[in-house]
Amino acid sequence: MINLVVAIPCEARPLIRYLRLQKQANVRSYDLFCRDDLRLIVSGIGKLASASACAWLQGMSEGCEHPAVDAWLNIGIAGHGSLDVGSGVLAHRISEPGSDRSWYPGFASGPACPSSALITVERPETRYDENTLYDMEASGFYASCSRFCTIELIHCFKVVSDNPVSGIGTINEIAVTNLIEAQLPAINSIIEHLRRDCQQLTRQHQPAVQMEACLRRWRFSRYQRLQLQRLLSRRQCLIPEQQLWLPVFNELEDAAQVLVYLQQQLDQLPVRFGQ
Amino acid sequence: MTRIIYIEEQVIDEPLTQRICDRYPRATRILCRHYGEIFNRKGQNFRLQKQQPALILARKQQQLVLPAPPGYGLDGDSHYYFSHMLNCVYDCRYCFLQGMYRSAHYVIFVNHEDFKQAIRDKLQHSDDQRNWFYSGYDCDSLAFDPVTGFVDSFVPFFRQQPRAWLELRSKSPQTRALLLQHPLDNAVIAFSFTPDNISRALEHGVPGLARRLQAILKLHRQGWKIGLRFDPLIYCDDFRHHYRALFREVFTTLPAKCLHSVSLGGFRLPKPFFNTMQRLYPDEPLLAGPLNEQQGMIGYRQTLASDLIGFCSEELLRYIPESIFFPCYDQGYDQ
Repeated sequence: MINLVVAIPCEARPLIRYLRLQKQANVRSYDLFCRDDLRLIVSGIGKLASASACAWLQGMSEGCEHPAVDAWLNIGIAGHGSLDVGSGVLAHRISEPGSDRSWYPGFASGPACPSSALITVERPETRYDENTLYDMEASGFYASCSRFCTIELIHCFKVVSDNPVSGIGTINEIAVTNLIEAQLPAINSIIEHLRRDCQQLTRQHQPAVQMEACLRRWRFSRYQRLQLQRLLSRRQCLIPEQQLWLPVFNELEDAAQVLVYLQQQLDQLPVRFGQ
Repeated sequence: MTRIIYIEEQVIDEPLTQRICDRYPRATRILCRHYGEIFNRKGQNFRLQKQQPALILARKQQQLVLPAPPGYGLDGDSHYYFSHMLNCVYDCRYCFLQGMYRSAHYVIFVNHEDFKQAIRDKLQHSDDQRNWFYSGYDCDSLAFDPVTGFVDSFVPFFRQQPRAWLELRSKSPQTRALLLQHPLDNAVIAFSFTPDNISRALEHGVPGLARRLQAILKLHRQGWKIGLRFDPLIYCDDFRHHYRALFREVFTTLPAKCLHSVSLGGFRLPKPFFNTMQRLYPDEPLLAGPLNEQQGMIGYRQTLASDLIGFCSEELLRYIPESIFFPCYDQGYDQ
């Protein structure tokens, strides 16, 4: 699942159109839009609002038996000390004024577009350092998401809306929508990067084949379930071509017998490399 | 290609930092306070990062020289290791670094002079005549040398320390910097090998055996002392055939008289490292193989380990004298 987090509706509108997202009418706490593996939430302005929205959205996925791997992308406008208005930038270091904490988004294959340091401020900033982005959400977004997601899958993409030449007085809703709209190809490219990395991690965490079939047929304690998962994963790794459900399985009476059988079978398997 | 370089604020003006940054003019440079903010943080995925690791340029501040783990060394009195770099450019599936570190990024410590001082301090407090210093524990000593400049920095230093012995351990044929130096009497350039089928399956990015052997031969001809490390020994069904073929090829190319030492050791990992590696690579047959736990270490079951180490020891001793053979019998071998 790719989760997009924006602060205000005018940032969301072009994304909703471009990604053909549908509003979830049954959700009251936030404006939430979904399609396939995409979710977009409108968090409200500020780091606390952003952190809360992320935590709320994550809560919707928790408790699943095999939760999917999620990625998180914060999209919004920001000020910058030297870049032109309209530039799209990924954050590579996020910090807050007066705090020792910094967050460093991880790039599994290098940034998909230019990147910059970002400072999250409480109020719109009008004094800009040369090479720094200024926003109002990123630190809250990042601090929240990094509690439940690997850091390579959490990113902040900002479109420069103001700079020393063009101040915040020039920003209005239409301008914000246009700025985001102009960066949709870049945003789409970042989403594709995240989707590819999510798929890789999902494959890594997939339950072993036949796990469900075994759980349906026999009763496993919680500990036995872990043992079963481990044994089935090993088996799948060593003899992926062989079906698990051999005739002998129909004769096994309980979970303990299944585990013993699998262990014995694995102990006798040949170990080969480069075949 | 390196696309991101993290730089500790305190090393930004170090000459080695500048040299490395100049080497990657198009890389994004990101300042940080301490390398641990990036390297040690929770919630990273080693496997994703290994696709394109970033560089982290930092200063090593404490514990610059540490006692070598048991079984790591050869003969001699004292054994230490020091790491000018954390993580390896190769991607060997058996490597403990995948389980030990949270990050796959390459940390390069640029304060070489502090390492040298720490080595001097160890020597000053040691009465031993032979003190070993290993550089290839947390990284490959040579593979990244064109970037780190390790050889040019440390070989001249060890030339002035006759009681200190340096072991560089590598899988790399990257020997140009060594060939430009006069050989050191108190250094061993040690290379580790596995049979071809195992290397292809498990040692991703490692150059082929023939290329490495040619590089070793050049070093030997110039007068460098050579070590061979068959560590870790990897079990497979026809291991006798594969290891016999490996030894034949190695010792056909390298005459025994050119060797300073040969060692071997079984595949073994601390259990927490193994668990991390299994989570990262659940599809890896090596980690799904006939392993078990003994006293917190994961290794081959005793009979397999014994067969493997016993066979390889006997085979090796057909080619080399016992005086230069240093097996590590720490796991499951009845001597």
